[in-house]
Amino acid sequence: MTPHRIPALTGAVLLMMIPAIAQAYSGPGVGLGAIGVVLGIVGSVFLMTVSLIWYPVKRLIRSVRQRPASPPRPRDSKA
Amino acid sequence: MGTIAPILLLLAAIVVAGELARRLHIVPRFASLAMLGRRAGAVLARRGVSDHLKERATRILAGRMMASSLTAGGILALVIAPVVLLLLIDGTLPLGVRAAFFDWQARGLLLSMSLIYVFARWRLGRRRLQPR
Repeated sequence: MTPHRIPALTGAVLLMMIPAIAQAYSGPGVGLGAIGVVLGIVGSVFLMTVSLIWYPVKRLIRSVRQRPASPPRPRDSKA
Repeated sequence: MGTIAPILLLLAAIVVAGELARRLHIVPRFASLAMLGRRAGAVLARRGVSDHLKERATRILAGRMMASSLTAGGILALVIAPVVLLLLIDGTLPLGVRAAFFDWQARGLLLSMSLIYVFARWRLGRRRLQPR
């Protein structure tokens, strides 16, 4: 952290300690609702990631592993 | 403006917010969001299902969950809008609402009046729901 940011961060923390300035009260209902909405969005992004990345990659890895070994070259078979 | 007028304004905003929450069915929407989350967990943990089916199911559930979350968030914003608007209006046109909102005596009065309203509304709603 650069030295000039420390006083700014300290000032921001001190400002957050004054509730008359913050006026950011939210009740338990709205707070829980907002947490639920955020969790829903995060969950949907996670599910979409699983669907679009994890399963195709898993299928690709499985197909690579199950691919039969290449047949021996004719020169090797003669020997 | 007197001391009772801001409290009445806040109470009106709270009543409007409560009616919006009732009419817009906010609780069932959050319940359906939770159900979608449980279903997604069950799909991911289920054995004996092909990855292809899981891939399709998670994609569909992700879309539904995103739509449900955004709808629930929008409805939540709509429900709290009357109180927030009143507080915002008080910033430009001093009505004394913010002072009442942060005064503990006014808050106590608001809490008791809101509880009376909720109780009366709940009884009325139950009576209306009775089959004829």
